[in-house]
Amino acid sequence: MAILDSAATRREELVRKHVEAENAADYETALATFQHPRYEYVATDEVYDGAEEVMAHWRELDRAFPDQQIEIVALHTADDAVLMEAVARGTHTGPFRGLPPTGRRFEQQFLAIFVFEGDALVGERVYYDTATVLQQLGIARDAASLTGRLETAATHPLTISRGIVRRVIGR
Amino acid sequence: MAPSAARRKKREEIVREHMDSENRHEFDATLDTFGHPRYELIATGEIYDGTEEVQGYYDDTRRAFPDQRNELLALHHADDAVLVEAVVRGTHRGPLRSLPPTGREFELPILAIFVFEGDDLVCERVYFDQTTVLRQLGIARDPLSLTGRLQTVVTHPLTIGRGVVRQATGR
Repeated sequence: MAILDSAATRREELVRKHVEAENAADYETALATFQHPRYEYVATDEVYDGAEEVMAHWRELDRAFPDQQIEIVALHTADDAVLMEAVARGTHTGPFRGLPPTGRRFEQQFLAIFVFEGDALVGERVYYDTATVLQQLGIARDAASLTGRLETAATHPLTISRGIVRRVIGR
Repeated sequence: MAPSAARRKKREEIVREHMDSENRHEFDATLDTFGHPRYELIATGEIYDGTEEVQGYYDDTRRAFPDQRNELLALHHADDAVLVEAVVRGTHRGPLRSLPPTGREFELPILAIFVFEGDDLVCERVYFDQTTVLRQLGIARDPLSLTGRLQTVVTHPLTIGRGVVRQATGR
């Protein structure tokens, strides 16, 4: 059953309000857009559930990337979710999980699924590429580039040499 | 304007046949599901446009992962797209660009946006995490794990050294 246009509009307004509050670092307002605060990051299997965990997650990001901004590229409204394509940009000027600040900027396109129950926002599930961010911060290399390939061979010698043997003997 | 029930049904049939034909390794049938064949891979910035490029993309990925298959988890209908959450699995048995086959298996959650113009599929845009694949193939480590952090210090001494100085001097 397709949702009514008026319900779709209300959901899109809530998603925009959520993103604007994050951009303003107004985390109380961002939190209030959730009926149940919850984040899921598919790439890393991280889950933040409930007000306390979600707020701590935002504070951690705010410390590492205080200027982070999200620009909405497209909103796709479905029956039980609004799916957002967006670009996040920020500068790594604070510590992040043991990594000292690199001072570098990142820009990355991601997809967020805002999960709804009726008009209530009950979760945000994020698909993004960790490699894009880490390469831009200068702490990972593109595995297909020449320096990336040399680095892979140097740091994973067993995996690579087994692969070469397998290719030579055709198994 | 939300698409009609008939249009949703038609689009869903196209998406399911697209994914099923990939699992049957009938890539001519997969190609036929497109009104215009096009892939956009957000993580790597790759674009394959037109029959020849898309065919080449199928050839490359199936040489690297001959048993690659997908499993559909959830399907979201939006106005001009069908968005699919899925898991892709495969074994690395052939060369992947310049990386020799590692013989390892991967399992990767993806989000694919099947973009429609009316009933015509005109693009598949895919969001996924490169690190998830590379880690399972044994050619990357989680940079935030202990071994990953040690490796980062060894292979990116300037970036990390600068960061440590920046953290110590507060600039």
